[in-house]
Amino acid sequence: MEINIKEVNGVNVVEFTGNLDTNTAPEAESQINGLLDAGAAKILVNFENLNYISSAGLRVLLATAKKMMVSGGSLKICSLNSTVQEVFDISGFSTILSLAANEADALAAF
Amino acid sequence: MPNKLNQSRVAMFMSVDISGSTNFKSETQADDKGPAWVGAFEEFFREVPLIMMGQIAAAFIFEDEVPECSVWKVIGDEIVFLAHPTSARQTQLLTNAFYNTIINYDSKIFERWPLRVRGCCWAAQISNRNRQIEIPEMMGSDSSQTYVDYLGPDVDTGFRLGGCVGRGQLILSSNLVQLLAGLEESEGIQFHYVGRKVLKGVYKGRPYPLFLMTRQDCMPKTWEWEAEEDQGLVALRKNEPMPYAEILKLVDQIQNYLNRMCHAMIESLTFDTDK
Repeated sequence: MEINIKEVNGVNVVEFTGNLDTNTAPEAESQINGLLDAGAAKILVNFENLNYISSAGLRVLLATAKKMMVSGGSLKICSLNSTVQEVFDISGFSTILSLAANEADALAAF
Repeated sequence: MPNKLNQSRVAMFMSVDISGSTNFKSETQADDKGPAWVGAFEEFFREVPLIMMGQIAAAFIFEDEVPECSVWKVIGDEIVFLAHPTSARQTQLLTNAFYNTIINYDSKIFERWPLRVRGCCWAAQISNRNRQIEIPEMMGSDSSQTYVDYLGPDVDTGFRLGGCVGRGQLILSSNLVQLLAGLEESEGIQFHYVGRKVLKGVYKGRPYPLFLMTRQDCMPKTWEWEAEEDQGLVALRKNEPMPYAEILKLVDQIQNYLNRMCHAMIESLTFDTDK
């Protein structure tokens, strides 16, 4: 899995490529925690190039959402492919987290 | 070597397995895509962890932190989740999330296949009695990832206890019941004492108390149809949930008996937040 982080209009955009699963979740959590420790208040997770997310990946998103809730920040997720969307639907995360169809829509929603 | 591995903490195990899978595998016909049962198992292994994570998200919606929880083992047609709650409150919410996962997935799998699921939830204090060990032969390809296993009498008890639960139900270890019944807020959790059973190798052959969990707002879906063939359901239908005070008294009596008669301990669960 590759993780790329960029800043767009004050929003930290985290792009994932590959699979977010048991093997890669610790690295993903570490990278996101680095942003939180640096004081990031707005994080957009872009899943355009993510092939699959497992329960371990969902846990990273949940933990991040909790931390941002405590700090008064905001987390959004965009560009889910059909496989990832299905994972969100089965788990119920579609209704728990803030989702957008694409990066532009998500950025506009902050 | 003393290390962080065996610092005292609670390990919570949540097992879900497919009931009736052996018959199903032997009775289903194969077509050109292979045996039909494969799809049921693929769905089970894929969807249950996702549903569990969704239930955890729902259970912890008003909490600031979510405890670590992941798939620990997959054994045959069984998935075992492992969590490290840091308080009794987190343990309670994890138990609720797991119960909802069992009830929801039991309905879901039964819609598509003649299969059911059942659950067992137990906990062990990682201390002198139960230990956490690294197994070098099982290290991941990334050398930074160590494989950790859990050994001890309270860990073993859960695997025995899981054989005592019927379809669509959740059974809990007595130390877990004791912890949850000691909380002021029930969060809808109800306990039913449904008898005792000797579990091989547990408490020197003395019978182990069997507690089923239900929630008033989310009862096992098919219990009215299966009560005649399932002793746990018979007891569930006969008995109202046991008041928490009676649960605590009963577990205390059992602990005292086991301690005096056979020096077999039921170790209570404690958290740093309790100290």
